[in-house]
Amino acid sequence: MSVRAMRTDRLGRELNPLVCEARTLASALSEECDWFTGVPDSVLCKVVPLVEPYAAAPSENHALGLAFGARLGGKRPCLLIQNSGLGLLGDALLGLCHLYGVGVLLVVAWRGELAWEEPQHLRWGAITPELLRVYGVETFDLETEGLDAVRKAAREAFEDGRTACVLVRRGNVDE
Amino acid sequence: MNRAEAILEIVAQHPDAAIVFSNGLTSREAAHVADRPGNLYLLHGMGEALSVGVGLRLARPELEVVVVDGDGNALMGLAGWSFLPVAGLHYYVLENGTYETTGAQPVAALRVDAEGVRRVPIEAGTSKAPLPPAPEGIRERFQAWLERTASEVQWTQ
Repeated sequence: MSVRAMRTDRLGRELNPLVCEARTLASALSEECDWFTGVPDSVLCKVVPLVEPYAAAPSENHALGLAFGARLGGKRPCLLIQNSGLGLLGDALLGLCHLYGVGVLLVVAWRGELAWEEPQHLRWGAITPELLRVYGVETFDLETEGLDAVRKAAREAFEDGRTACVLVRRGNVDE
Repeated sequence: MNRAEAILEIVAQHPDAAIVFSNGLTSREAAHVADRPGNLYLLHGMGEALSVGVGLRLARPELEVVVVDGDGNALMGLAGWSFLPVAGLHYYVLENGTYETTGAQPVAALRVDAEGVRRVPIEAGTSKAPLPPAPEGIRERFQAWLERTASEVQWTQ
């Protein structure tokens, strides 16, 4: 029988296992991508200041609009968002990226997956993998695949022209 | 001035620019009356033309970028006005007060302004505007134009 020691935050709440430090994820992303945008999220709060250039967007759809334009201009863009932005993301995802066969890398924080999380995140947490599947976005799990998830998603986005996602669970990187 | 005349005037003023047209009749009329390889016609993604143009400009700072929006599109993408002004990017909003592509339903008035927005009143009504080309063709031609433009810039430097 294997026993995994439960990891907790400073309030004693359960967290998913640590995969790497935020700066290690930022380095891996910077190896695959050269242009960043997004809408802030607390799971990724230590990653965002470490990637550049970073263009802040007012909403996830506009972040994807920026990234689509930057990809046409030859960049390898990465979007850092939380899962509650997947609704807003959908219009630009289908109407720009999928329609024109343009791939960008999504890094999506999976809020609302753990039972103690705030109620406004729980429904998004419950539907996140299924919503990404329905959107036609292949998802790579940082927790189970480690930093290979970044490399695989980047290959799909930039070599195959299909927007792909790295899913980051709460606790996978330090906040 | 109608939409086609406004588009022709904008294209004539920016002969070397990458021009992003918002979806609906703006793209369709542009493809019909002012087609050129440096035009990117959006077919969907309503409200995203400005963001696409800003992303392109940030990625390619040597490139002049123009965005031509309709008023319904501008209203849907209004949060994107927070990007403005962007040096080297010209943003035009063609205003006729209607969602003409879907049957001329009224658009709520754009009661806000921002630095870097050029509002162009146009008459309602459309000229003959067949559907623009398929998305793959639009993207491939535009990207080929972008690559040629990049090599010309290198050549002249």
